[in-house]
Amino acid sequence: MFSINMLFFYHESFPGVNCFDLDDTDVAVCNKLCYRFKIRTLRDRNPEIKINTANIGLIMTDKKTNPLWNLLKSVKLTLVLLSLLAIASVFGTLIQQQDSAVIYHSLWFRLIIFFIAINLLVCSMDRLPATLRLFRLAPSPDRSRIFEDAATRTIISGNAAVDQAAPVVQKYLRGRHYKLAVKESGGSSFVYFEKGRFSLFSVYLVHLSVLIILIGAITGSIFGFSGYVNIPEGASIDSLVISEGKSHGHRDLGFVVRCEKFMVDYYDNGSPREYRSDLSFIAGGREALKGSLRVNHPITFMGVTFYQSSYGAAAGEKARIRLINNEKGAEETIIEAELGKAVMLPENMGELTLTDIKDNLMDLMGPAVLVSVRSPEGQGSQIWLFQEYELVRERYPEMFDMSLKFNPSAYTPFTFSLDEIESVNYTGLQVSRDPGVKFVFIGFVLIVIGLLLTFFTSHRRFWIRIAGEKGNVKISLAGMAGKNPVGMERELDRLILKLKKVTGEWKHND
Amino acid sequence: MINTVILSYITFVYFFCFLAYLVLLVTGREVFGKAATFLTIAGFIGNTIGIGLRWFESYKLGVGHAPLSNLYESLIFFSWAVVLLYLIVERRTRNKTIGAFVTPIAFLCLAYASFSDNIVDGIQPLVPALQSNWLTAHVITCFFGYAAFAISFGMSIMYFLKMNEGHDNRSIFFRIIPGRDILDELSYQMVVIGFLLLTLGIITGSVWAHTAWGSYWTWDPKETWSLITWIVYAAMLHARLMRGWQGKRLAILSVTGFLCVLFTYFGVNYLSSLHSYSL
Repeated sequence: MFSINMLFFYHESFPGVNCFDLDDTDVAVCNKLCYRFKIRTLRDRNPEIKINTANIGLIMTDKKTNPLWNLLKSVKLTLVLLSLLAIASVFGTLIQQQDSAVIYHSLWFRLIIFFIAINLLVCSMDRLPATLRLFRLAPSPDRSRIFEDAATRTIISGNAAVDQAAPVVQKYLRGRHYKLAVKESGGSSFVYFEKGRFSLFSVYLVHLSVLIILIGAITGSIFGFSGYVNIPEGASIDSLVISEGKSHGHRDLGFVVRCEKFMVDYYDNGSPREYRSDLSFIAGGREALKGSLRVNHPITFMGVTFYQSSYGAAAGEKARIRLINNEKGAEETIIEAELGKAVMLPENMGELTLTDIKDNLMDLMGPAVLVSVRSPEGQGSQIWLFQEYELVRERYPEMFDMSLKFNPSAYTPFTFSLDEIESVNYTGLQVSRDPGVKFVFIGFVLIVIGLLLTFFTSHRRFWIRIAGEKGNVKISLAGMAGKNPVGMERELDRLILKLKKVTGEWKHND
Repeated sequence: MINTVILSYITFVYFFCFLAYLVLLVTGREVFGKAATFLTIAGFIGNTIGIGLRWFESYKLGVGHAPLSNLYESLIFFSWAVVLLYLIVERRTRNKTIGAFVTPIAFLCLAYASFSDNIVDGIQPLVPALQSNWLTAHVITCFFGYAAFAISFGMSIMYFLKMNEGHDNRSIFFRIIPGRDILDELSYQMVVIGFLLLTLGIITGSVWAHTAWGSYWTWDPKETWSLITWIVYAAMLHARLMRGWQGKRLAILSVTGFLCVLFTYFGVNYLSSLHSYSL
């Protein structure tokens, strides 16, 4: 009712030895036959195990003991490494996510993964020669012991002879596209055939896929980068700050990305339906691509992929400034100033230029702008204007006492104040290039195929003996499978039923 | 909404399934087995209708999407998957006793979904990150995987109980539950199915994360815990296939694996996570 992986040897590896229930003499014989390997039975490993046709196998350990190789291929090492990986991962999930990078991106964590890969590779290499031998093996068709030891079905006919029945059976099997090995021996006719031979390699495919995924991850971390950039509406960027990848710091993209517009669309209940950035990509001075970037719909340009990630509002390049003319009965004027552009003050009293805009001056004082004012005579002065003037003044009075730079009435006859800084929406983009991702995805496809083959196909081998017995013909069918013995029994039932049909009227006898 | 009302009634149906299977275990009378199966099929049909109606209602609200997008919807889908998988197992094994160990899982999930104050049962529109076909593929593969692990867990518990069977102990319970070899084999087969689906679930989630967030793996707690779960079950398969482990030791691994599943599903919600919308 249970099965053991085909990586164990079938007993056919050692012709002449019955391994269905190995005893010490058998092991000794095996050891003689195969000088390179130390043979132990499954039972040595696990005394509890019940030996049956499905789990018969030999564990072969290479007698040549290279200690390093033996360490790297050992299952104990696998267990230690996987436990370390699991413990470290658990710990990483318990601390804050931004801190967990300390674990997941650390050298020692990567070393654990590296040694898991090595362990996987060495284990596979260690077992591959044995699997290849099994794969190339052509068992002899006339093996009488099989019919006593393996799962067997028998039918008996009273009205045919061996040389009549054998061609019928062979013809039927050839019609089913089995490649037959046929042998006549001692008045009996033997047939051997098999299916699913390639299933022997399915577990290697799974392990290879894991390695391919890891290679993809390494490729990505060496040759790829990942960063983040905010682009205000109407603005462009040509570089970004790299947060992950080999080169930290700024990275030139080699092209320009412009955000034409950013929009949020809402459902009736107020939750967001869509974030959308209209982007254009400009390379070599020409607009090469225009597109709407949405969540789940990234855009790739010149190998770099952009993902809609966040949004927000930031200070733009315009501010509204309020002037009170202290000489003319507190007459109020509002002027719209744009960064770097001079604006005339009322009644030819000079000009004002907006020279700096701060969202939050010194991260303490809230929105502020720096203006330069120049009188018609050419006298200039610079003043910082605060949006929350009263508050800032209360908090930092000494600053206002020390310098005229903070006095909003420093330029007579006006008193300036900052009404508002125009805010601009910006879109936040995740930007990355990952040349390893294709390996990872190939690995994903292969691991699924590999697992399906591992669990749902098996190498099944069949022997048929057609023998004369007391004037009757007795057809025996035996089968062995690397795994899934229950499925094997079912297949034997189906096959024997078919053989019964093609060979005519038979008396069934189990 | 009518779907949540129906689903809250199904909670009780599943509870009565559990009771019927328990009575079967105690009395051994086939009539209770038949009643239990009948109730389970009825509960499953009701569960299906509840999910279908919820799907339909979401379209009537103009925010149409498959009901797989928050914790409530994942719980009702998980119960549905557990019961469906169980009914298939019952049909194939022709042994009804496993139901007593599996239906409580479906019952508890539906009860949690229907009667917990922490769970929003309203139909919510999909936020931009969830608007992807990968959502459907990801949730279906993950939760069928979890369902298979849940059934394997139930069988492992049965295995532990069966181990107490003495030679002279001829109680009905021990007579009608499957033998240890059969429980062991069935539990292993469930883990194989679960492992395959969990692998697919991690892969679909990973591909989705790649298109939504620009990275196929971010060591987010949910991702990390799903990897830990995957490693535990991978270890279990290797122990069985390569080392010939069976029985008790394998049942312990199966229970460990399922505890990891539970933590991946529920525990991670208490950690900061990109999957926070599943709360």
